[in-house]
Amino acid sequence: MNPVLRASPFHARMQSAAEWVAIEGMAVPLRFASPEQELACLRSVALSDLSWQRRAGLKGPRAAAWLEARGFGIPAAANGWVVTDGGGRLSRLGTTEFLGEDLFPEPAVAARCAAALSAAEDGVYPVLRQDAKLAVVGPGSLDVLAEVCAFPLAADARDRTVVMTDMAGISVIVWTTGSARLPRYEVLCDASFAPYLWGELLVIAREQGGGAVGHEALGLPETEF
Amino acid sequence: MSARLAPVPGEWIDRAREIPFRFEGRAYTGYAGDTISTALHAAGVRALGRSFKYHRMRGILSAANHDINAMMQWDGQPNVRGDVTRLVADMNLRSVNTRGGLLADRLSILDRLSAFMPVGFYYKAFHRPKAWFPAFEHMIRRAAGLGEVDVSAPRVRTPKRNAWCDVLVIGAGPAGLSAARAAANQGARVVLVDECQRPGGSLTYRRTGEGAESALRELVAAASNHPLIEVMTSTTAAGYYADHLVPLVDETRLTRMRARAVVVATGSFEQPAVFRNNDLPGVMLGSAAQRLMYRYAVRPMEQAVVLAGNDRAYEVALDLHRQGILVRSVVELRDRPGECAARQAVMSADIPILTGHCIVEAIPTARRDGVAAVLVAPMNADGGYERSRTTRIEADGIVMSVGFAPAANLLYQAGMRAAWNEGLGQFLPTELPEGVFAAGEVNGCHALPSRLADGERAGTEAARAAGLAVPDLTWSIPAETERPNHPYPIVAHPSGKNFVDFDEDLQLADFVNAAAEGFDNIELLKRYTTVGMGPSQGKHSNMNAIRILARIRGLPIDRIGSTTARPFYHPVPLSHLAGRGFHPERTTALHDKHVALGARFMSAGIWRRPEYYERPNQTRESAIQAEVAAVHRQVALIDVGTLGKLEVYGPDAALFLERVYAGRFAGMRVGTTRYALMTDESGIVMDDGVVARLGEHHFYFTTTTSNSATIYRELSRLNTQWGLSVGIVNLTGAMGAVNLAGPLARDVLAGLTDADLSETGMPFLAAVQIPVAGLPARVMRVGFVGALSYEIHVPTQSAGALWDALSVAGGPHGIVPFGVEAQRVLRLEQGHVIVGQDTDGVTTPFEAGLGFAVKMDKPFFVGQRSLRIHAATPPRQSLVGFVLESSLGDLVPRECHLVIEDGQIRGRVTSVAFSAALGKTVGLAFVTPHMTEVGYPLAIRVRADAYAKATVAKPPFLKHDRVSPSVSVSADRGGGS
Repeated sequence: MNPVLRASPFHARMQSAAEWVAIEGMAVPLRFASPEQELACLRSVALSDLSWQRRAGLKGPRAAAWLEARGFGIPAAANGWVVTDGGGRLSRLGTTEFLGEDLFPEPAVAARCAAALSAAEDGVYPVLRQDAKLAVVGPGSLDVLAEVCAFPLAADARDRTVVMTDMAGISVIVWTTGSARLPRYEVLCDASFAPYLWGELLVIAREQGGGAVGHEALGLPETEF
Repeated sequence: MSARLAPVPGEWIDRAREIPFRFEGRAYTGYAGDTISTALHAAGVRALGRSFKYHRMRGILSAANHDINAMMQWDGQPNVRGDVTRLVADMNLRSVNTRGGLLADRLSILDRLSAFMPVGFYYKAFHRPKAWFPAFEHMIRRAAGLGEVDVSAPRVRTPKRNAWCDVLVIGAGPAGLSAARAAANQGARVVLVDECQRPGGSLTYRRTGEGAESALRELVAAASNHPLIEVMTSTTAAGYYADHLVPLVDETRLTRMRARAVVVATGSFEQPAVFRNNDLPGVMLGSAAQRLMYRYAVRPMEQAVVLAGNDRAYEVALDLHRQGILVRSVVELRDRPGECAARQAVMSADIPILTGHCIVEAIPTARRDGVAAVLVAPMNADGGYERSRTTRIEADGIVMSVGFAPAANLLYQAGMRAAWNEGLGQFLPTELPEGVFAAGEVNGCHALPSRLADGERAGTEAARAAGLAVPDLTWSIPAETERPNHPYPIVAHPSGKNFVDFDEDLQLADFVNAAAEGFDNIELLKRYTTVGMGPSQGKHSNMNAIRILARIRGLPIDRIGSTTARPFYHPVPLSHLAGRGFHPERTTALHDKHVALGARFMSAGIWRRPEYYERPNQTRESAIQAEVAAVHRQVALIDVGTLGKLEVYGPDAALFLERVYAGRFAGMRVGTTRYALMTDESGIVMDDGVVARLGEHHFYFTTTTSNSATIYRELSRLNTQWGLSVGIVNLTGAMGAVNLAGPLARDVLAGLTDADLSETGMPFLAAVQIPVAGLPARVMRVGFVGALSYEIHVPTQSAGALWDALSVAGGPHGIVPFGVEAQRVLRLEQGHVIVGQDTDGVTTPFEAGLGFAVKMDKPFFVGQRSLRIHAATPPRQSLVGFVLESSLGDLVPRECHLVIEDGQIRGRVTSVAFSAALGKTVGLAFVTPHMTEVGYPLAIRVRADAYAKATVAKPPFLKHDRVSPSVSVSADRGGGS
């Protein structure tokens, strides 16, 4: 696809970005402020756009077998996730529904599934995923999320649980991916709610001394914190 | 004169930090840690406010968050509770509910007129003559109310947060602290909340005997240091809701706490005695005097009379004595008080005890701002006093210690059942909901050892209820040795002013009168007298009201019962309730394009859609007509990404659609579309859209904008129920969509795709998957707006690129964007129905003229059986088109205007718009079946006395040349709404 043809659902909310970068055909803020300022946000609570990540969904009674036949290890039960080769994550959203994500700009589970399932097969159906996705990172993450979400999210990634819940009144999927040292939550929502959710979270994050950070800051090693 | 005591061990004030503030225009100084009331009392100010009805001066009563006559206006903040609000530097305070200031309140005259203002007087006095009622209402409203709302105050978005724990312990007194420790020791994550600044409860001010000080140190240290216990002070548990949801209110936010189990260790409210002038400043509860002395190092009074109805009174008397206050007498209500160590100590201190006596009256000072003396008398056999044997005791304060009422409000809200326990003189829990536990005084445990043991029991059981593995244990709670509550600490007086409810200024006689008038049920009594309906919610009055009613009716208390407790247990600032709220809003991927093009937005459900696009020198109407004209004459583009978009896969996909839609789909050719109508099981129109067959086992279809989630849920439910081999995918947010419409639409699209767009290659109602501007697109030839048009669907993240490409390609053809209003005009010209606007919750397809989309000869579809009944029944109404023959200037018909015939309502307008192309106003209306013939005259009421004339006409009102003249406009439908 033409590298300029994807737009982040959060794009309208990111006009204050200082510098942009194209990742996977999508314009993504590289940074909003100086590295020092973004690091300060991360030490409190920071929001960052992850919509550029490739995603592919599939569902159907044979979906699990289809994935296993292609060498993917799948979560044993619904609401679990596993890491896949090449930096991907495969989540089981229900008994017969899966979501693959390429967490880095290299093809992994999402790209492989999309290529292999361009059309429906018997008992396996592709699900187009154009969701918005953001990361909430930093020690204040749970405090921010506790204002918008009535589900007790895990503090770290040990459980590898996919949580499907409500956040600020809309349906979201949440992964806890951070550690006790650097809590991180990845939140996925319908693209049409993206500007709304970003706005609500940013207001709360700013009240706690945080803010938006670009792609660059998310790549900082945990030891920086 | 300062009433500050020498430093008291454990005091809550910081004497190193002086806090200046102002009250009623005068400057004062308190200490950090003081409350407003304690700082003023320490400064010699005892009168802190005026009562609600009679404007009598009042002072400290409880110092425990219930002194509603000591509420302050702090700049724009009304009703700040002086007894618990911590002093802040440079506070500027004044008493609420005065006219002319606390000391010169002009409305204090009402106290002298009280004989003319008994309970219920305004129910009876101010409804006649009727014409005067507005004046009466104005006068009463001005006199009523507390504090002043500053409407210019900035909006505060008070945060609300969610929190979770295993065990929530409410009340950090000895029972609560013990419960928290016990639960945490079992491995439970515990949150311990208390409304006070510090944990400890009564241990922070009861210093007599029982090892209170060591218990306080040990328990507070355990709670503070335990890794599984979070202590939240200055926090009120404001109510109890299902599933152990408890709102916790602190100064800055509201926390929705969800616990696996809840321990209510809220203690009890000390109760006042009822005697004449029991409301004067200087008359206070025993616990209030102890709080003043031990928390804030404030001398409650100089010379005290202690009114005793229980043994606790002797502890209080000793505390006063130890702090240098002259205790003139202990007036003991009981004839035979039990022997206890404190009573022995009082006697040893040579404090006189008047056994079997009562306080007849507190004699006020000349300014009625305090106590000058106390009149006491022996009690007689019938509960009164001997009027000939009164004795005057000089004192400037009265301390009442006659009993307690359990703070069981939260337990009642949780569903507790309680019964009266005569031995203790209080209601006790008999049945608690699962996961809810009572501990301490609220559970009938008053002595410290029993409170600690009861707390440990409740905490341990709560941990088990929270799911932790707790061994079975047996509990031994020490029995109570005294009755803490006097059965009737109430003394009648011929001159009244013996107050039962300090919030509403209710006197003993008010209850007698209310019962005499027939309001002798506790719920009726409450509503007639308003007892318990003031800001303290009856915390000091309900128990005495029950006692009084029981005595009036000659019934035991358990036959009287208690009133219903509802959230909130304690007033919650409106700023907390109206704090941050969430109102989800959806926007399409093209939203910022619309903003840049000058769109005026409107709400469509929770979507934001362009209503129209503003243009220089054009009104709203002319801008909309220009957009309509562009569709008629050239080409225009509308964002229809809000349409619901669903996909069905699988070998049973066609069968599935045959069942959920009223039309026929099994025989559809791949690459075609068809209008689809959905009814519910009662045959009512539920939704409509367009179904495209993209493969033998693959359908893609749209729903109305506001119905996508509902339809997806319903289809998923049906799929589960039927067990067909299909997969349903909701693509509403994943697919963006635009409608390219107008005679030049093909020319524009041709510049962006190599696909054959000819009438042969892509005829009306065709559906293809082709690249458009290099994007994977699904393109459908539809006709919702009449003109040649293509609905183009692409992945949401590419919608912006599609819009830009179409705009560029359409530039030479004069392409413009059009909004929802223009779309409504265009579809109305075609007579197309919008489900939800032209139908309602009782409309069948036959009534709406949608019978063409219903195939009754199919084996089955949802609603079919009901529609057979509807088909056999004469229709109640029919949707018809109409053309307006005359209007009345600006008075044009609007949606919902009524159709009138013979003075009767015969129908209503569902859609109406002016069509510039026709030069007429056209519309749709429901009418009774006899009015459906073309040409039938309709009278549409546009105002009470004005009617617009219209005639029934057959849609479409405007015929478009879609380049395929053979297509019947009225029978084939396409596109969505």
